[in-house]
Amino acid sequence: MNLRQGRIGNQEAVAMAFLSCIACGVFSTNTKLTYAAGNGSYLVSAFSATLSLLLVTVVAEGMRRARCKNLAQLYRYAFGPVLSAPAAFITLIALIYAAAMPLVRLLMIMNHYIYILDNVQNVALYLIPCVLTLAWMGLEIIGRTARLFFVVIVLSFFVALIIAIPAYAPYRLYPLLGNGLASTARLSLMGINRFFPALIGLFICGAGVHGVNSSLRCASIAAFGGGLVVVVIQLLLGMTFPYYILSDIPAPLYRLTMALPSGSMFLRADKVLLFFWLLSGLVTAGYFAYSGALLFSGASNMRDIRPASAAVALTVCSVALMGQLNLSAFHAAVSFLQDKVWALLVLPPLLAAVLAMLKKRGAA
Amino acid sequence: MERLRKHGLRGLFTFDRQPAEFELLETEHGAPSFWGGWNERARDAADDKGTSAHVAASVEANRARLRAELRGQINPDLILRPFLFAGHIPALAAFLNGMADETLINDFILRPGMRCKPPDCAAKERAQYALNRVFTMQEAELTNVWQDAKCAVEEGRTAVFLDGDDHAVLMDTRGFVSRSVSSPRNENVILGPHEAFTENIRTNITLLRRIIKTDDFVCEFRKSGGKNNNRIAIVYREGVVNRTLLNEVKRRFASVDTLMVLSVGMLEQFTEAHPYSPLPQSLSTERPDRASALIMQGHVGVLCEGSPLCSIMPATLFTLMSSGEDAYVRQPVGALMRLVRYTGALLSIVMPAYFLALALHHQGMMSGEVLSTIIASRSMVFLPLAVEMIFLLLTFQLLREATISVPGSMGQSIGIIGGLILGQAAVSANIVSKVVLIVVALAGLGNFTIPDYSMQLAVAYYRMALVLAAWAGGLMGLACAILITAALLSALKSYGVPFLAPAAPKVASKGPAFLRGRLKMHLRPSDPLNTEGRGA
Repeated sequence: MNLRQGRIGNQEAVAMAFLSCIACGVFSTNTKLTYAAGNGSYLVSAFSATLSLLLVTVVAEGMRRARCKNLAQLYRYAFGPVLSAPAAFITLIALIYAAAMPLVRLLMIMNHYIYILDNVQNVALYLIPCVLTLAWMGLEIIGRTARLFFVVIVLSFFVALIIAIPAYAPYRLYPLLGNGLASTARLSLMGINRFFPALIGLFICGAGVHGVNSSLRCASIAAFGGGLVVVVIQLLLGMTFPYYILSDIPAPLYRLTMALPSGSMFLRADKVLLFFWLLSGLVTAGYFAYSGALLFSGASNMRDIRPASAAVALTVCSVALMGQLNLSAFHAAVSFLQDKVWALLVLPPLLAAVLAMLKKRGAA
Repeated sequence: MERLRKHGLRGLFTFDRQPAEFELLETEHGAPSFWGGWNERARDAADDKGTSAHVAASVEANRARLRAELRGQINPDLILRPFLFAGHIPALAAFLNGMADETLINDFILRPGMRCKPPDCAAKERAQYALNRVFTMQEAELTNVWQDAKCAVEEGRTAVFLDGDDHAVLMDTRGFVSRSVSSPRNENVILGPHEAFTENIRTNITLLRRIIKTDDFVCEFRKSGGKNNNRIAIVYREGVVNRTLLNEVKRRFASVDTLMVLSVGMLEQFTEAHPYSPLPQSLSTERPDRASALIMQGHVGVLCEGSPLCSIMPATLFTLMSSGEDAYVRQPVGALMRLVRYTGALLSIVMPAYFLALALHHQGMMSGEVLSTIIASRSMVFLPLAVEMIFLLLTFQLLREATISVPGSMGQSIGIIGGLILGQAAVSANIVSKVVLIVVALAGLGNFTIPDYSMQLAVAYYRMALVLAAWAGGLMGLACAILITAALLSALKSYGVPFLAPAAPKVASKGPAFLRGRLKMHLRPSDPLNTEGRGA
């Protein structure tokens, strides 16, 4: 078996999931939907993170009962050897979507604000070696790289928030409860796809994160910490721009750094910070690509992860590039998926966990 | 790369092979079996040739064999001195002229050997008798292994064969000239001791023993694995050092089989797991105090005959970035020194690439004043900016190599002349601009804050790689190159210990990795090594 898994410590696992929570939480937000009729994005983020954590707790309980070390084992236990591969494939598709969405947004910012005269294809090419290297080298390397950049990346988000302090005005948060309870609940469910992949990734790599208990502990810290950072960012965004403007801004956080002329002039923080955020997107993409490949390899009994991880990494980069191109079929598919992807993500592991709990204990 | 080298392109497409890289795990205990060494292999080879692996009982047979194997007929250095032990037993003293001390041989081997009383023991116990009662040498041993006897002669020791006994008495009579202990040449400190290792392995071990006066300090001698039969010494603290690490180090050194080993630098290359990485995976120091400090923390040291360096393994980034002086200054000053060092290293790696990315791809990120200064300084320069940067970086490396190769004061002169005159001339001739010259000079200065020479060279390598990435893709290229570099560094292991430990992976270290903490934080075995006696 060559699964490139190794073992990572708690800090590496938390850093990996934490960064992914922030990258997805900030850059996968559908601004048109979220800010459509009121600014409740911070509430939505908090609810989504909490819901995601609850869901992975259920999955963890299922894995514990079935005595499975990782999600692939749970799939094989719950669905059997024939159905586990299709179930893993569904989760893989959702993970590819989750990995590509922050990159789509970051690429768009890059192309619109930094590399204005360049082709987007030229810019997107740089993603490939990074995501491919991380996914190919495996869990240990992704964890250590995330741990290495963790402080710098989290600080970069806070620097953006600090720069814009004079622009904050609490009255802009009106209406306080966002779009109403029903809408908030619907958006919270849809927002699960911003936090759940980062957390379920830890269970996919459960054997490398020292088992289910350790994975759940790391997931809890990441969900709480990452969720908190995202909530703070969304809250301060809401205090900077009125919601009707936010819904038209594709990259609100980037615009936040430009909210004040002095802020953007400070060592051109608006552009420099973007490259730190890009690092978080790349680490996230590598992590999800590897997790997806590991899940699929495990569920379909492949003994070598490298073909799968290379293929998934290239697919993630391709999807990120296609997000920038005028491909109507692709955009139609994304529009179709964006409010259903949370279900794709959640249903297979949840169903597997429930089935595992219903089965006779210790039959694994 | 290792795979590619061994199996060619086919290796990249072959699956189901676990990477065979050694990894030091926290849960590993015990002592895995030692996989043999040079002597065993040499004995095997001797057996294969049909010659006996043992010393013969006949002095004449031993004499003939030594003469044949050490090319005595054309090698006048080989002295085979026959004499009559106790006046009537044929004996032979074998040694190499120049390697052995003649006074020691005359006064403590030949004279007592000839004048002693006839032995009152069986013929096959004569060597033991001579060892116990006749030869007044402090370091002496018996062997019946031919290879050991021959190697002893080659090392400068004296082998005495007595007729009727199939053992040889080996006595340490090494007396060749060697350099005395002097000040370090490359690792100068102000507050610390001013002693450096020499080319004599015995002196080097003494220097270590003078600092490590503990009962667990062990020095194991063995052959280096080169055909030149050079000796190495593996030094460590028994009971403190991680046994798995120690056995892995021994296994790697035992597997060395090459033409010659002249210094620890060569041995490091033979034993490192990532030979194509520009970064060193072990630390070479010429300072006994630095080597001792690391050995006390649970590292393994390797000394080589003829090399004035001690190789310490494993080595992490933070070990390589620490200096001998760090422990001798007060904590705030030490922390500041470390901060300056890391900032210098970071500047050295990133600044040329960052400048190039801004100037070529993101002019909008610079203020009007900076931009106009750059434009003004480059107004008559004919080289493109990126080529100019690469040219200056290469020139810097050229100067550096020239300064190192030429002797002391002349080297300094070349550095000054090269820096001032060549730089000024290049600016005047419009080959390079002043701004780029300043950027490269700052990067070079930052490079010199790195204490380890091998790290300095590695940084130059990464600096150039980042410059190329920034040239191609601006800040995007730079960010991607930094991420890939970080991933590659995360994958690097030094004798099973991750190169970036204790930062990534984080270990249970209470001492700060970057800055110098309080002294008592440093006075404990190193965490990433998982030493046996944590509190030792």
